[in-house]
Amino acid sequence: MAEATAKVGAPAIDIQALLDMDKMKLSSKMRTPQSASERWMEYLGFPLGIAVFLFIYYAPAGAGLSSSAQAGAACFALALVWWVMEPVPTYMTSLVLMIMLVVLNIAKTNPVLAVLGLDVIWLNILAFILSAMLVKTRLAKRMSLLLIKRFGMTAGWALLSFVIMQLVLGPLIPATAARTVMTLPLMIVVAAIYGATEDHPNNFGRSLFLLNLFGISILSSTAMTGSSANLLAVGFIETLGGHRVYYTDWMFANAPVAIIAMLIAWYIGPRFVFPLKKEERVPQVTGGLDLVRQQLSTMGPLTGDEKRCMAIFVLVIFLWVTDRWHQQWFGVDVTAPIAAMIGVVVAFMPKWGLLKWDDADIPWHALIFSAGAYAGGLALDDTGAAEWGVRQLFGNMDLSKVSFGTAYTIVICIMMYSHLLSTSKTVRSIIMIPIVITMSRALGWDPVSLALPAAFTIDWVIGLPISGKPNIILYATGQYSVTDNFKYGFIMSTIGVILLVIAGATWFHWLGITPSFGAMPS
Amino acid sequence: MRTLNAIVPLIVAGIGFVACAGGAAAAETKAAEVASKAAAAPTVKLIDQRLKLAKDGSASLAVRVQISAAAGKIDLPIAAWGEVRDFTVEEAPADAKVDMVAKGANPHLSVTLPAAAEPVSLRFSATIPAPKPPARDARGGDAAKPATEDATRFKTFAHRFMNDTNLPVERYRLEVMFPDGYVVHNVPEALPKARGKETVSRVSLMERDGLQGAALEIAGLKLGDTTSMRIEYEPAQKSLAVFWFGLLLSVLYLVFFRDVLRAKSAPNTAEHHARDSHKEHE
Repeated sequence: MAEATAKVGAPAIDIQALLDMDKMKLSSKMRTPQSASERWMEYLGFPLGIAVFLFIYYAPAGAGLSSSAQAGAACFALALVWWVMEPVPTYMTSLVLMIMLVVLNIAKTNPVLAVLGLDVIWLNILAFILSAMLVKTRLAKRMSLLLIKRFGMTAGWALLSFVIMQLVLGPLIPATAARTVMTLPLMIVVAAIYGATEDHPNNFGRSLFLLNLFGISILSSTAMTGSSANLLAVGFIETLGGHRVYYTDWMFANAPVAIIAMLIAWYIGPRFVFPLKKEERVPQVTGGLDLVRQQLSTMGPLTGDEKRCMAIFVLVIFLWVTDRWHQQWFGVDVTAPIAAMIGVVVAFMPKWGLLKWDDADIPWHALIFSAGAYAGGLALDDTGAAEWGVRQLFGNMDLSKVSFGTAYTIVICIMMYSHLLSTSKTVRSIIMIPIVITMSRALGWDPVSLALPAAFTIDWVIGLPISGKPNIILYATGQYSVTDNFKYGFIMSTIGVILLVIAGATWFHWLGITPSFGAMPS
Repeated sequence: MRTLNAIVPLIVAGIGFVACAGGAAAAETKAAEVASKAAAAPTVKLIDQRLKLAKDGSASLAVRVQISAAAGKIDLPIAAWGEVRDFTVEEAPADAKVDMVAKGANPHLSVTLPAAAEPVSLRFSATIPAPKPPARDARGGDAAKPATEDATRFKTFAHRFMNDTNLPVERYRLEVMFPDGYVVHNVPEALPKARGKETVSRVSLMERDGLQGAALEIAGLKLGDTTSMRIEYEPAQKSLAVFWFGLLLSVLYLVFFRDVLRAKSAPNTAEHHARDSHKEHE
């Protein structure tokens, strides 16, 4: 499928056209011809989604499950099938989901409509305005050309440079959405240099955007401060499990796993998942790297607009990086969306500003998609369907007769793949970590031996565009489909499970976190 | 859309928990140690009420109360509405005095306990008849229909408990089982919300003997603390309209969208797809 849609052999791609970002409308996604299997998926996806919905909706109610939770799960399952198989556009699926939530009495109208006001939606809007500012002033183009000149002689190096960038940014900016916003313009321009635009997505673009998504998410798990969900999990381990987890405990244990996972993602992405042909591994511009250098030199020194743009962006990044001191400095928390909003206000300022409203390219179809996904996710959480599902899953398995290694593998699998049915890391952490701790205790294992590795999976929200905030923002670029995301994300999730299981048997055991994999419950 | 105003068949209010003075006189006859214990830390260790609703709106109620080292007269609010019948004391200290009293709109158990060093356990049961429908609706129009004849399929059960005494309640629990053939639709209210590191839901759903139920549970209710829940329940039998509608949509799609299977020669050939329509904006 990826092969069929790649923009291979595009006749003499002109770098000027590629880098003319003003003409690149994020809100103008156009589908390219599909393979036969994709067409069948599209055709059968519609009735399959309905069949899945009806099956869950009319199934006998489980003990402890309310009928609205059951109906909510049925609606979410339908939307999931439709988002992946795309018999209708993803935003239309989201609208259908929102209608169903209200009509089937799963949620009230106002909470469903209110998701369009969530911070992630605002951050999405503001992100694209800030990106437009970087693109319009040509600062994104300059930075990208520099990046390509330095690292981008081949696709592999270009992709690796982004992995390293995300690794460096991870500890500096805990907010994953902020990191996404910050690096998005560079991704768009570098993808364009390699021939990947929204109109003509190719395998380089898929690898680049999804690799960045993985970097942003997975590398958040290198430190316990990488996300608030991590800290929540650590809190549960301390209060419910009776173990204090230190910063270094977490980092020494999981940073190697996360970094190895990213290197594997970087290696397999452009080779096996979205294979690049030989001619695609170099910049897809007429004149190649020489022209890139020439373009850079013709841009001359930084212009006034670029300097102002840089100042605005530095201000926003400063506010993002220093979030933990805001209360001390200003007496108020300047959250990530508000920091971005401050930057946007300055950018729109008459006379001194850099943008007019028309310059901002906001992909509303993606925002509607996001809103529907969040409405569905919130309905699953609010009705208790998600919690019920997890409790049933763990409760129905008798892990008292299996070795620690088997129990550990099952817990890691459930934790890892559960992100496909959730839109919130925090909710997953709140629901699942206490259950894992309780279960560990019941089995006679040290709670930290299962709960800490389980917590390491919380940030792995990589399987679907609805799985997290960065996912939604990056999906809005139109550089990859839901199926692309699911394919690469599922493969990487599975690799994550394998890595964590290997680490559980070796590295974590040597660190004293896990017992021997052959040990039986006491 | 349901209209909640018309579907409130049961409002169970358990408000107030008043311990009256009077313990001092009873305590005089006991040993000094017992008296000092009673005065030092009298608490209601447990209020556990179990309510089983019938289809006609009536219910049976079983109440278990444990009071530690308390003495005197205590008014216990119970999860009942209006008239209480077949009131039976199943367990109580021999010298305890138990009465059913009306306090506002809700019945209360009035319990007078002698001083005791050990926790006292009390158990009561009663039946509660179906609530009488109001004579007029809120707008003063036609007489309101009985709750069981509401146009919507949802019924609402609501309960609120406020500790308005200086006796702390260590653990409060109300379990309600719904009539056969009914399931919980939603829990719109479960207060207070989980605090801090609490990981168990305030209201948990359950199934026992083929009946669905819900339990409100909270620990540590100080003076003025309130807990409440509101549950919407409905007949378990679902309408087949959704099934037939889904089936019809599927068939229509399979018939009228067969062209999806044809290869698309150019990106713009899939006009039937709304997702391409935004191209027009360019």
